[in-house]
Amino acid sequence: MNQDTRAKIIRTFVQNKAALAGLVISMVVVLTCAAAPFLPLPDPVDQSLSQRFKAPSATHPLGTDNFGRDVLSRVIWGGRVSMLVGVLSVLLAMTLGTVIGLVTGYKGGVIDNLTMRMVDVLMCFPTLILGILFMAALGSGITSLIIAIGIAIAPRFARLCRGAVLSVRQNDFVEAARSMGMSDMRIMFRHILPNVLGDVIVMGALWVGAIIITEASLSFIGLGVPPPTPSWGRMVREGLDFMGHAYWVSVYSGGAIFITVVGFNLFGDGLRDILDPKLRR
Amino acid sequence: MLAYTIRRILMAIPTLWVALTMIFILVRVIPGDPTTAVMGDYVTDKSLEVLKRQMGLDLPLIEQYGLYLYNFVRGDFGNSLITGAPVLKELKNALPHTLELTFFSLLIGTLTGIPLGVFLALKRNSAWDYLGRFFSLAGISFPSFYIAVLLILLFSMKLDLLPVMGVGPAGDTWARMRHLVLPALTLGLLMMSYLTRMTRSTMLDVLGADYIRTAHAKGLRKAKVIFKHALKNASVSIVTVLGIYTGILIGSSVMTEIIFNRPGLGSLIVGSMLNRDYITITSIMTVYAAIVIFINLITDLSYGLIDPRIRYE
Repeated sequence: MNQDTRAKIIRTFVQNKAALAGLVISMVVVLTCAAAPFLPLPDPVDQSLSQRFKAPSATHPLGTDNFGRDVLSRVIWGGRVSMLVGVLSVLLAMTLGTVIGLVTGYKGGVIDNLTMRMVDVLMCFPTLILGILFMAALGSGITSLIIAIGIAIAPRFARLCRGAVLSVRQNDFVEAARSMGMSDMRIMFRHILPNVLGDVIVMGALWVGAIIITEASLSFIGLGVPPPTPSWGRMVREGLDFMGHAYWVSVYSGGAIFITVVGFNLFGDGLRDILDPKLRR
Repeated sequence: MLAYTIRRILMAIPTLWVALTMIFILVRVIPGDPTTAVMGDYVTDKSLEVLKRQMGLDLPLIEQYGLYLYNFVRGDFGNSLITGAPVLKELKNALPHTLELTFFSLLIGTLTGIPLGVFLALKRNSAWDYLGRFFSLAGISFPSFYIAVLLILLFSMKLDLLPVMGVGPAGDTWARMRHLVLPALTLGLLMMSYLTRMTRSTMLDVLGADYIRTAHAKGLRKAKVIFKHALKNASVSIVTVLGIYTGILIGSSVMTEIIFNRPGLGSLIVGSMLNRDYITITSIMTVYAAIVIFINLITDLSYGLIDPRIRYE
C-alpha cells in the first residue's frame, strides 16, 4: 500500500462520520478500562453490607449491588475482561483461520477437501453452543474464554481466507514467483498473504462486537471468569435476581456491553465500506 | 425440481455423518470422567469399573464410535446420566418450546425486517434511511439477554402486563401465548435488525441494475418494478441470509430460554453441561446439527423454487 492510497483511506475514514464515531466510542471504552487501576474508583470487590442496594447518587454514580459493591467501579473493571477476550480471541481466530485458509486454498486437493468439510460442519453449530462446549472442556478462566471463542469462530475466518486465496492464486505474479523457484512457504506468506489480509482484517473488526456479546453470554451462563472478578455478563445475571428493587445493576452493566458493541460495530461497518469500494454507498 | 431435491437431500447425508463424528470427538475431548459425575467423588474403584462397563466406556474408542453411530440410526439416544430418563423423551419435551420460540421470532423478524429494509432502500440517504440504519445497527449490538432484561423491566415490572417466567400451564393456549410474547419479541427484534440491514443493502444492489432502469423506462408502474422485478431478484440473497440467521437465532435462543426460564433445548444443554451429562450433551448437539443441516437444505431447495436457473446447474 503506497502513501497515496493510505492518505486516501484515512481521508475517507474521517469523512465517514459513523465510522469515526465508532472509533471514538470504542477507544474511549478501551482506554477507560485500561486505565481502571489509575482511576479514583472504589475497590470493585470490596463488600460493604451497610451500603447494599444504594440507588445511584453522587458517591455511587451507578448505585451499589447486593454486596454493597460500587457498580460503576465493577462496570469499568469488568470491561477489562470483555476487551481482553474480544480483542485476543479475534486475533487468535484470525491467525488460525488465515493459516488454515492459506494452506488449504493454496495447496488444494485432499487436505483442502477434508478441512473444508470440517469447517462446514463446525459452522453448522451456533457460535455460542461451540463456545459452551469448549468452555466445558477447558474449564473457566480468561485464557479458556479466549481459546474457546477463538477456536469457535476460526472456521469462519478460514472459509473467508480460503476464498480470497483461491482468487489471488490465479494472478500472474504467483505464477511468476513459482517459476522463479520460490518455496511454497514464501509464496504463501510473502506474496499471497498481503493480498488477503485486508479481507481478514475487515472481518475481524466486524466480529469484535459479536465476540464481546458471546463472552458476556458465557459469563451470564456462569461459564466465564470465576467470581469475584467482575464481568459484564455475570453482573447482568446477578442483577436479574433483584431487578424489582435495584434495576441499576443489570441495566447499567448491560448498557456497557451495548455501548461498547455499538462502537465496535460502527467502526467495523465503516472499515468495510472504506476497504470494499463495491459496497460503498 | 424433483431431481434437484433428491440430489440435495443425498448431499446432506455425508454432512450429517461428518457432524456426528465431530460431535463424538468434541465430547470425548471434554476432560472429567463421566462416571465420577454420576457417582460423585467418593466411590470405590470397583463400582467405577462396573459403571464404566454398563456405559460402554471400557470398549475401544472405535467400537464406542461405531456403537454411537448405530444407536443414532436406530434413534436410540441412551439415558441421561443424571436423571436416568431416556434422553429422547427429554428432547421431545424440550424441542417444541425451542421450535415455537424460533418460529415466532422468525415470523416477527421477517414481517417487519424485510418491508423495513425495502423502504429504507427506496428512501436511500434520506433522514428515514439514516434513522433506520442507526436503529438497526443498535439492534444487532444488543446482546439478546439484555433486550430481555429491558423488556422484562418495561412490560412485566413497570406495566405489569406480561408474565416473565416459564411457559404457562400445559393445555392453556392463551397462557402459553402470553408467556411467549416477551421471549419471541426479544429474538424478533434482533432478527428484525439483521434482516432490515441485509434487505436494504441487497435491494440497493438490485435497484442499481440495468434491468430495473429498463423496467422503469418502459413505463411500468413503480410498485410493479419494486416488487416484481427488484424484490424477486433480491429474494435469493434474502433467503440465503435468512437461513444463516435462523442458525444464529437458534444460538441466541439459548440465552433467551435461560432468562425466561423456558424448558427448551438451550436450558437443557446448559443444565447438562453444568452437570457433565455427556449423553444428553451429545444428543442435543446432534439435534442442533440436524436442525441447521435441515435449514440449509430448505434454503437450497427454495433457491430452486425462486430461481429456476439454479435447478439446472
